[in-house]
Amino acid sequence: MTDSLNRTILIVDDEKLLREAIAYEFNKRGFRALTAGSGNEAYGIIEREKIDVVLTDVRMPDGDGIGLLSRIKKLDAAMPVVVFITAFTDITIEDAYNMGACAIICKPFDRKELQSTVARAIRVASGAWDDFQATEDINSAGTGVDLLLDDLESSINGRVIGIGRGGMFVTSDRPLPEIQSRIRFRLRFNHKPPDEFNGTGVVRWSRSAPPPLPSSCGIEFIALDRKTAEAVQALTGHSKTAAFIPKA
Amino acid sequence: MDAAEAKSYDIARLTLRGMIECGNELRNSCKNARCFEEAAAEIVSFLYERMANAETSQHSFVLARFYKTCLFRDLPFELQEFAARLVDSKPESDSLRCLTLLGSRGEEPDWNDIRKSRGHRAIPLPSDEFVGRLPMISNLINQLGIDVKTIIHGRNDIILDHEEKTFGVFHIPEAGGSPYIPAQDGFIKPFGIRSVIGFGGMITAKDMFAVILFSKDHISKARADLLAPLALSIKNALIPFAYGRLFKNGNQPHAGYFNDTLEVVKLHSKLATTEQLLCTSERIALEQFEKLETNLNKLKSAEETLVQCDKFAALGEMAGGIAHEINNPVSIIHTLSGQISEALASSPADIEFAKSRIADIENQSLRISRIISGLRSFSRDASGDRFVKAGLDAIINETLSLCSSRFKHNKVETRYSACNEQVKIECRPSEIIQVLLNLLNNAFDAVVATEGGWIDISVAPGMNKVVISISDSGNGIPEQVVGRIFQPFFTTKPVGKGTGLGLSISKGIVETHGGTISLDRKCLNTKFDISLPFKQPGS
Repeated sequence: MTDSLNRTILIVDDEKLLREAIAYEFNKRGFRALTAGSGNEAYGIIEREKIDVVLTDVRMPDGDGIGLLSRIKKLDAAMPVVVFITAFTDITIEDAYNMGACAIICKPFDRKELQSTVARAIRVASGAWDDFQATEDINSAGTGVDLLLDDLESSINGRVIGIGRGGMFVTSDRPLPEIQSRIRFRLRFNHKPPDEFNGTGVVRWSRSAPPPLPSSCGIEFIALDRKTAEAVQALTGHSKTAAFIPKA
Repeated sequence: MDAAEAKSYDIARLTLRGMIECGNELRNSCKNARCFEEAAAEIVSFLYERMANAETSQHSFVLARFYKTCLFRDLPFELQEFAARLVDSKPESDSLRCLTLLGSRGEEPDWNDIRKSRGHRAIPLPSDEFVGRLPMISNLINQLGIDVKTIIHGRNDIILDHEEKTFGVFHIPEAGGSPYIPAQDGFIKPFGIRSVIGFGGMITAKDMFAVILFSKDHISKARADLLAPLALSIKNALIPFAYGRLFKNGNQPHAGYFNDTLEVVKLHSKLATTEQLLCTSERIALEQFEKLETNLNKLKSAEETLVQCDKFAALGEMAGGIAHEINNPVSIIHTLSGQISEALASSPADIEFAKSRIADIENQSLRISRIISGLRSFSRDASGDRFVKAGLDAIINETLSLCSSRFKHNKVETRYSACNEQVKIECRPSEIIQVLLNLLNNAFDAVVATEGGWIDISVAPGMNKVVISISDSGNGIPEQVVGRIFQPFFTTKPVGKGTGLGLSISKGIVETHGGTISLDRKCLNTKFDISLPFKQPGS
């Protein structure tokens, strides 16, 4: 509950009954819930009020969710935005994370999942990842990403990896784990510090290509060790980087 | 008519129409002939000159020849000599018949003068055995349905019936390698002859005629069958000459009849041939009609498939909107039911809260069922359904449930002020939904890219009918395409966007309902009026 205390959530959906029902949920759990029926109305509120998290639908007349997301990210790259999508989506999951959405929820959604996703979005926005303890062996987990790279800078410049505010993409010529799998990752750099990136995450998207073309996947960070968390903060914290998980 | 401007006929692609026109010309082709030889020359000239491949404009035939059996004694001296050489002696019987070349036209200069023919000018037919040794001739006689004995013995007791029944088409589809044509290396191969076709039959009770055509184009069996009326038309043209002089300067042969009897025989023959021509033409016309009907049925069933395709194309376009439209009420129901459970579990239970939420849930589930029923009735084939009395307002609302979400999302305003619930029409509701959806989707496509686009639906009930008008903010339909909008496959939309069937299908549906659909050309915007009777006839 501490996450919700004095927090303001803005719920944007053109379906009045739905946005009110969601607002009721969050109000009951200690949030201050505001609602808007369109992207344009929502942006007006964001300019006036201090908003901690935005929950928005995609398809809406008078300013859709995608437009709203990109306007928010220009205003405040760190503001967490959770996006609702439907089965026939207007945006790919990869693009939504790349534009800065920190979570994606499919309609119809589970109420508990909605609560936990929003709570996590707020926590991650402040860079509060779980603390990773390197107790489990990377290979024993079964699903793991273990890459040996030159150094951080040239790997990013060469688009072998990409670091965002809440995750990263990696490319590899070996098979990569499937979507939604929880993984342990280790990136070892040969030259220059940092020596290693260590943590756990969830695969949010995956693009496999036939060899020798590299496959890629987007991993949302769950837990990072201290050094990795500091490096991610340093790479994204002060910049205007909007991407939550960059696109490969 | 000048040969240059005369119509040509393509024998390999001859249609029913071509067959009729060509037959008509053939029957009139011998009007100016003075003897049988001249008539035969007209026939082969016509066939050689006027039959041409439609693609290459080349003559269809390499060579066209006309043969007739004649009595040996009626032949001029030089032909008698020619025939005698072939049987090695002077024939004993005066009744010996010879298959005599009377007309020839072809590519080689020598082929245009019958007197220059080396081997086939007068072929004596002394016995069955002799004819049996001439493969092409015996095959020709057999294929034309003629008994060889009739020709050879020329019996006097043969009745006219025989003449009436024997006529036909001689056909060798593959000339190359055919055992019936001996001159393979010297003739068939070098001149590229693919098929041989012939027309012929008995021209009098005792004599037969045959036109043999060597074609560069392949002639199929089906095409050859279509030529039977041509054989009869040729015979019809020749009857006036059948009992007269063979050659211009030749003798008048003895017909075996007195003059007045001869006229009766000629008339009888002409009548019989004309009757045959009529019967054959009728049979062929019926066969062709049946083929046309089969093709029409195939087209019709293809059209029915297309109607379904058009529906599914429309459904595909709407799928995203429909998913969104269903997802929202499901999300609401899901959220509210969770909240009701919590409210009832709390102490004290918040009954009032639960009650109000349950009412919301009911409304949302109605919303879903409306979409589902719209989809169900839209996607099924309703062409065999009965007409039912249905509320127009409900039909319009069901239609809007399928598309309004997409319109709203794309900022196209939909205006519809509910029409009186009492307005009921006898119809197939799902077909009316299809019509409305087609018009609404067209209107949407026309205005979606414009600022402040709108679509308006209005209903005006009259005495016996109701007019539903669908207009949009577009500027009407360009004058040059107005006449074509109801044609199948006409579309102004980009490739892959529209099937071009929507309006033509809609028109068909409205017309089966006894109504009309029209574009209001006086309106400055684009406006379609659908007029539907309240009652169907006979109800």
